[in-house]
Amino acid sequence: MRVLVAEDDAKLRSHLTKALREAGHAVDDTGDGEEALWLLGEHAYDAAVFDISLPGRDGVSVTRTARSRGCTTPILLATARGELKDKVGGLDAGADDYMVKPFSTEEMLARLRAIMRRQRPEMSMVLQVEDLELDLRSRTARRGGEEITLTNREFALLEVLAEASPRSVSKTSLVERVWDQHFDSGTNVLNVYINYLRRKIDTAGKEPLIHTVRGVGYFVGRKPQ
Amino acid sequence: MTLRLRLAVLFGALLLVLSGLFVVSVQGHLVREATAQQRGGAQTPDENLQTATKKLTALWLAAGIPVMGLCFLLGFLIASRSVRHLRQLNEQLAALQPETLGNRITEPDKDPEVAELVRQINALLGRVGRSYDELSEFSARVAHELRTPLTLLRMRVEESATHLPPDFSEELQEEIRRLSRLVERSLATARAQGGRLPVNVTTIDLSALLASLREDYEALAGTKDIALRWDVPAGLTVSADKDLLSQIMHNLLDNAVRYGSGSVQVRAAPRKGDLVEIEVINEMSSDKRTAQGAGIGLRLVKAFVGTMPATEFSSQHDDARFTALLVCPAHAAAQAVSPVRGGVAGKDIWISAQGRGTFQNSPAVAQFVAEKAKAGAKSLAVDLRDCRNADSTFLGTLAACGTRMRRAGGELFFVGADPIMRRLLADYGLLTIASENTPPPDPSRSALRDLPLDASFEAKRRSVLEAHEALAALTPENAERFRGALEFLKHRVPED
Repeated sequence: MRVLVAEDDAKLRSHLTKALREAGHAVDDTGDGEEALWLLGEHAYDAAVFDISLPGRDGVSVTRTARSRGCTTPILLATARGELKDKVGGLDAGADDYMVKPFSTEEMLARLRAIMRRQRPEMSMVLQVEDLELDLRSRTARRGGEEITLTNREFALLEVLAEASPRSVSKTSLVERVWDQHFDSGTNVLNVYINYLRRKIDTAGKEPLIHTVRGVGYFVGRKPQ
Repeated sequence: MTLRLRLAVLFGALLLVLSGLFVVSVQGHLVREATAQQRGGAQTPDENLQTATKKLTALWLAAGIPVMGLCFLLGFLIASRSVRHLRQLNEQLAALQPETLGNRITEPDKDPEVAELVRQINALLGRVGRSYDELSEFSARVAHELRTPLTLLRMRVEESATHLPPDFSEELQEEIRRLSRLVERSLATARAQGGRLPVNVTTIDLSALLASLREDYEALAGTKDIALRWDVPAGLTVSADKDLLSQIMHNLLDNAVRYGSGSVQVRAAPRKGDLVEIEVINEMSSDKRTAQGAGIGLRLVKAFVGTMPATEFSSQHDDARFTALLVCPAHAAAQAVSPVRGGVAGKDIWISAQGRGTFQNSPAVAQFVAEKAKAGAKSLAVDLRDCRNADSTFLGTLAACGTRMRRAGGELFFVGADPIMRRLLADYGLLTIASENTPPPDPSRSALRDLPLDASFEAKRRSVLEAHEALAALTPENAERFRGALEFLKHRVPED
């Protein structure tokens, strides 16, 4: 996938670019709004990540102009402005999603995957990790063909882990994506829910799929030998 | 000794001294008369004169104490009357909060000395308000600016996590998360206190909202060996902003579990006066007694509560437990038609809105103001001290009335608007037509009467249309906001 990144903070831009490249994407980057608009017109990108505060032309204006020119590339706006009117303004201009700083690498990647999935319905709505299957439409989980009953919270947690697999997901990212943003003590209950999941997924006789990476977070998949 | 008492004593003493001087001067005069008579050949002073002098002295001495008491009482009454204006000013000043610094003090009377004092206080309030706004804006900007470096910091730590000692890495990530939350909360507090938080009051199923939080807090309480007791009946509904109420409950529950020990009780129940109360009670361990209640969580709760109409929060703690009490208006209470009062004082029309200004009480306001303006009233003062919320029709009605008064050379004043009302007035552009002069003095209570709320359906519909037309004419934002609604209202069939 080819992704365009426009962010005026050079350090942050470099990290966003690096994270996207490590996730297997080809990335073009710029720190200027006019250049972003020009690049968007010149190349066929699979997705774009724009900061709102860009010199030259702000991210919302780039998005609006690109849409008026018929550009259908999924656009993710990243900004420090988190008020409702800013979000509505960004989405009304034609952005596909809106991400408020500070965000994690995993959150950005997950949002990009989600908007690309919406753009391209042919992308699978079933996540598979080894013999574990998650059907995102029916919100059901199976392991080895056997249905597993999960609560909404457990399914959401497993979905985030499975979507990122085989990458690890930090505790902070998990909490932010699974729990209400105002639930301040998420990291304290995360272990509780990981244990619930382990009891249901990694049952006796089956290879454990949910792993703790100390200092990093959790991942779902076969443990590297 | 209070000023009133000092003035009374001074007045009493002054009158006593004056009467004493009068008696002494009369005595002196009588003595001089007697001496003159002696020099003129009389053998002895007139006995009548001597008797009169003695009687006068005895009378003054005997009546002195009651006279002094009477003088003191008279002095006290005169002093009380003189400082009445100061007391009224004091009450208005005491009612000012950081969120209501935009309000101005009204003149209790036309006394030039008091008027000058009011002008100076209002000018001072203007300066303080501007400083407070700048400070609040600065806090918001700082929090805002911290977001980009926090993103960078977080990405770098996540990227380096595998190269760092696991415990250190987890600690760093947790601290960055805490810092991010702190920034968010500071920003939210600054916005709420500055009246910049969007508030959308709707009907909320409180029982369902609390139930949605239960699972997470039970899991959290379980990690700390705390028993969570839940006493929330089904079917409780309140009028509040859902997101803000949810954040308030998150903060109260988090606070209770974080600082509590033993057990935490969550209780919700209807209360007299069409209210619903929600109590979160936790037992406290001795080492956390001073910490609870001082954190940013409760400050945020107070700031949020201040933005929602008719919602109140209080907390109390003793040695063993901490109780947080939130009181919200029940849904039914918010739907009742609120009374509105009107009156004329001199050339000023007064409208006093109670509770909620809505499309239901707007026609009465429009009709009353139109009648009184026709009869020669020059300005419109809208008393919002008891008004907790208003819909667009009510605000539009005020806009229409205010615009007409201004066209006729009059003025529009808003008095005593709380932060919610002030924000509504600003959002809908009404402050652009409000006068910046000092509002007219408050009318006497008897000058106001309840306005009839018996407008017909047709009158209400006409009032809704006129109100929204007036709002649309105020600002381009309003014109855009109400374009669809106006189209709909204009073409609505009468049978609708």
